[in-house]
Amino acid sequence: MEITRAKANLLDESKIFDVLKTTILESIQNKNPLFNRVSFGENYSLLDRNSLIITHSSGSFEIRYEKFEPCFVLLNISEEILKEKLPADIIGSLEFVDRFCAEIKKPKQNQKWYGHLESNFKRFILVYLNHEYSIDITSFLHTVDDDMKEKISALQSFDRYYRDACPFLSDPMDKIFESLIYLNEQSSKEYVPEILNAIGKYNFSKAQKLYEYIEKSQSQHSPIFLSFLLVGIFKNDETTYLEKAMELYSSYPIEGIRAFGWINYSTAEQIIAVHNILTKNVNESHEYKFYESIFYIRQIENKAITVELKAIFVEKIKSLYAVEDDKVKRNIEWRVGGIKEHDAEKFNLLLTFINSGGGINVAKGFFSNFKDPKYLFSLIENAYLTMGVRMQIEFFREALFSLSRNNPDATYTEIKNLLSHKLASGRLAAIQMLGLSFIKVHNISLLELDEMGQLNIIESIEIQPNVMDGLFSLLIQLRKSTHQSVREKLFEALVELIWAYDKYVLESLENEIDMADAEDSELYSRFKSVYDAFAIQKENRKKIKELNPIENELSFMEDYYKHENEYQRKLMEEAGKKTFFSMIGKEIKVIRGRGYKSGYKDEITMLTTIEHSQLMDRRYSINPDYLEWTFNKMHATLKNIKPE
Amino acid sequence: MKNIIVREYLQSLTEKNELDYLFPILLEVMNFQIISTPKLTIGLPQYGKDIVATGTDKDGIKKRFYFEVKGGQDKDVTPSSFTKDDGIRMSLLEAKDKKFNDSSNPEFNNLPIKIILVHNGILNASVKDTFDDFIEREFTNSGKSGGTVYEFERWGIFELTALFSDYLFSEYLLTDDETVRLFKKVLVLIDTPKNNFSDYYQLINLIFDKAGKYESLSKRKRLLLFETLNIISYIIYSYCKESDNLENAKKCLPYSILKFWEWILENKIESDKKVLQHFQKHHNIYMKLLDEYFTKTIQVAALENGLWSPNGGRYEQVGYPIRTMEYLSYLVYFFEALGFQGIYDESLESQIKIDYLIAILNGNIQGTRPLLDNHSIPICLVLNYLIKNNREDDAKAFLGNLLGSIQVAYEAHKRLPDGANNLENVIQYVIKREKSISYVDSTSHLIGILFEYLALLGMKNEYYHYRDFVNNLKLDIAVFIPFDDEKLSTYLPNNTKSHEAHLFGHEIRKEGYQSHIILNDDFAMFQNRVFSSDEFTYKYRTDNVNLGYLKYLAHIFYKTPLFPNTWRCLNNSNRIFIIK
Repeated sequence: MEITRAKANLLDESKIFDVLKTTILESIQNKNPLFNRVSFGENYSLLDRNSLIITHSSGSFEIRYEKFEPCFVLLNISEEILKEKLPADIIGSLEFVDRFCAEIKKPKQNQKWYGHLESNFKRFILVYLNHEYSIDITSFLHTVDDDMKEKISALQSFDRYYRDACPFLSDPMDKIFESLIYLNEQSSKEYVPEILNAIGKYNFSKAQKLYEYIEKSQSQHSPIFLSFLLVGIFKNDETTYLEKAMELYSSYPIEGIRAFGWINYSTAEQIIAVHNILTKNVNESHEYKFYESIFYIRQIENKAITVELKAIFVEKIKSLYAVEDDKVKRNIEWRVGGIKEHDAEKFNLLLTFINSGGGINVAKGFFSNFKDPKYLFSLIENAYLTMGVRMQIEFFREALFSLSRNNPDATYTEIKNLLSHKLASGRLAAIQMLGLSFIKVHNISLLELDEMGQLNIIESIEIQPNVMDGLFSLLIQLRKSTHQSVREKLFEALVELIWAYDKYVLESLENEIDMADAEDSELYSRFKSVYDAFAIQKENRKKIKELNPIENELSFMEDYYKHENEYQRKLMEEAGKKTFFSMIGKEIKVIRGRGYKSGYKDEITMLTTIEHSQLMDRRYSINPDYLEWTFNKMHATLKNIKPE
Repeated sequence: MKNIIVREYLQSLTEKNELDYLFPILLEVMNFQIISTPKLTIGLPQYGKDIVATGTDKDGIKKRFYFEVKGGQDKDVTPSSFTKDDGIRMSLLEAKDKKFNDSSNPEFNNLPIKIILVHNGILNASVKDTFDDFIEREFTNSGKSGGTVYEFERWGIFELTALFSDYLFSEYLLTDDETVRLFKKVLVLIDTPKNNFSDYYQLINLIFDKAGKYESLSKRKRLLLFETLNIISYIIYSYCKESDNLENAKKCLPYSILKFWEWILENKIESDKKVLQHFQKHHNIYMKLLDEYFTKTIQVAALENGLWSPNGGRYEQVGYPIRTMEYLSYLVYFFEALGFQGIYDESLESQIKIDYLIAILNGNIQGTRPLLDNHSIPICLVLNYLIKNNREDDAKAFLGNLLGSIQVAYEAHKRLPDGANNLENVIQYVIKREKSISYVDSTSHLIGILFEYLALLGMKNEYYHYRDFVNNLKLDIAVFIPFDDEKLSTYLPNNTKSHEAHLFGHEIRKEGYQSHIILNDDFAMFQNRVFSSDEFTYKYRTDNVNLGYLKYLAHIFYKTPLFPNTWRCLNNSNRIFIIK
């Protein structure tokens, strides 16, 4: 028995007990579950050797509370801290654990700093009571109803504690089987496969007996329970239990293929054997296809699989995606997206999903496990070339975020390449990416582009509505271009931007350039003379009352701003309906004062000012149709061009 | 009360030339015969005789009168204004010393002389004794030693107030509570923002109501009517000028001109030369205003985005095109009216005008961005003006840009010009991208008109391109045809007015019909149909007296779209016509 072995282990090696105790007490003292490996020296090796810790790549480690040894030590510590013995009943002991956890959280009662300590300790306590005091945990399970759970907080998650403890209880087979049937009929039926899987994994002899018992019982639950048990037990005797799975499949194809889907195969032969069976047997049931797809998708990640087999399985997944069932399709999309690495195969499949009715939406959360950004960028390029300005980079935000973390260097290289795309739609995608908060503009150098690329990027950035919000510093890099044509075009673009952003262009230029640099200083002087002429002209224009709408068109202006205010208010109201605050309670409007106090609270909550500013492109007020149309046309006319 | 209004008004005349303009009007209604006015002697030394006139004095003796008019900084007789170089003293001495002979009128040279100092201020107490001594020495005692006798009189603010009240404002303006109220409101509100000029329009209507039929008016009453109109226009013009903003005067004064002309037509007196002279005088006030208006604004308007205002904010996406369209309307009207009054075709002046118009069009792309269907008015005026001045290529470019902008607006924002001509509809759409139920974009007269110009200018490729655009939108295009007099009596039996009276009286809406345009597959056929169309011809009495340009003012002011005959007549064979 696991718990007996753990107890013996601690008795054999008392040093383990001491080291664990010191470590856990230090953890409680510091309110930190992590330790520095270097400072632990020999003690680290001792714990590691006994598989009592998890070591992270950063060099830190933490205690594995799912092992029983640390839990024995925890029991000792908890009795010392609480100055009481563990009660010998289920409710009392669970409440004991709650009191202990509350104590070690102090002074910050709401800060659960200790990770999985609490759930693992509770699991241990149930197993401990079962073994030390012969308390029947399973029978107790049948007595815990909703009313009890509501009244006794320690029992609120009892089903879950039972799930964790069950594989280690001393119950006979019939009792385990009954409890599984009981759980299977409750809302917590999803615990059944986990329990069976764990029994198979952690207690082979018990699992063998249970398998035989279930097989013989001929219950209606037997096939499904067997399929769950096979997944865990398989590793203990692969040959026997692969055969058992095949037997199950021949009698119960759905339960059989469920087991095939979740078994972790060790060799290509095993996989081929299952594949051959599946190829020979055709089953059109959507439930069958659902598990069949799980089998093929999981094998893509299996290290034993050959390249040839992987290619066959990819095609198989594609054919399964053709099944007209949303549940099957969404499952395939989600599971393929979850595959680690194998980027080429995943992308191949993604294109099938997109083109087979899934649409571009499938791509939204698909790239979180990709390593190579080239696939995502190929997709983005295609999307922009096809949909033009209607495409919004927000759609790919999640994917870009993942890749910019998984592989930042390659991602920035791709952005730079896209910036110099020969087609405006491609450049638009890159420019929109630069507006994403997690993309660091300073990581990109436009000076690495060729002359045409630099000229194109000026043209694209200049008309962007957010040109002054982040893109300006990128654009201004090109003042250092080695190409005269680029420098001139940049100057023209800056002059054009005066119409849009007035003095802010001059101020931004001042911030970006180095006045001690002769070339920068010359650029600034030249630009300032153009701006000064514009400013004088603007002031002169303001003085002509005949052309001033405030003097002569006030009624229309008031109409305009009245409609604009109404519209903005409406948008705010609609936005307000979706806010967190509107979901949790009623909206409070403060009509006088800078704070508010709820009737039953003492403290005053001060209002804070939320500021957001985005410069408005004044060209939009000068000629909105043309600006919008130019922006659209740059991309719309390229819709039918295929990317290289 | 009446006198207070008049006195305040007269005191407010800060420029001498304002008094120079008004005073002869007063003399005219006082039965003086004016021999010379400041306008006639402009640029010449006046030797103390701003106005020379003959008339019968209070003593019943006919005399020659030399009026020395002092206004502006010299309106008050002060030690400074009296003694300075070219001041009151010097002017009065020069008036006495320098003879004014009129050889065309032998009687004139023998009439006794009276010199009158006219000033819209007071005689300051500090100079009164000096002034009185001077008058006694130079005028009261003149002739005692055998020389010429010079009588003298001073008309200061109180005398002028009484004279203006009795002679000028007594017949039409300050006769009852209603006119007093309206006149006062016009004066107070004229330069305020959001003024819709309703008081001014009511006042003008009331004046014509009071006047009644021309035939029933005495000669004096006729003169007073004409001069009253002039005075009101002039007052508005000067008030706006004083507040450094001529825009309101530019917007409202056409009403007086159009109502005046409507009244003339109604009374069938357009051939009466005296009446025409008075009308021209009235119109000239407006031309003077437009001259100043464009002199002040055109240099800026011709810059890149010159008519865009930094004060408008986001409103400019609507305000800028609206302002540009209006600017173009009045500019072309000004040019057209000038053309009627002076040299037209190849003169340098004409070239300058065209160059300015082109510069404004090039600088303000909003001139090609119609938001309302009746923006066809400035568009037609500009196109006609360019075509008539042999700038066909510019007209083609303008037309191409217009149609391009309409297509761009549709492709960018799904917006076509509002056929209901309601700016609030457009504002609502621009902001909310929601069309109000009164927004009309299933039918367009503007686009119909532009297609006829495509035919006129032989723009075949553009015709086919935009025909596809219109057909794809399933847009009905048409032009508005007014009823001629015969059709008016047929289709609107209760109507009592002619088409021409309607044109000068209000916006024409129900007095006509919508003529649907079919865009033929063949451009030549479409051209042929446009040019051979004889849907509307009319002999305007306004044209007969060479005032055809007034029709444009009626179209602009009342927002009645131009009628197809104004462009259909411009095909190659008829292009020599200026206005048909």
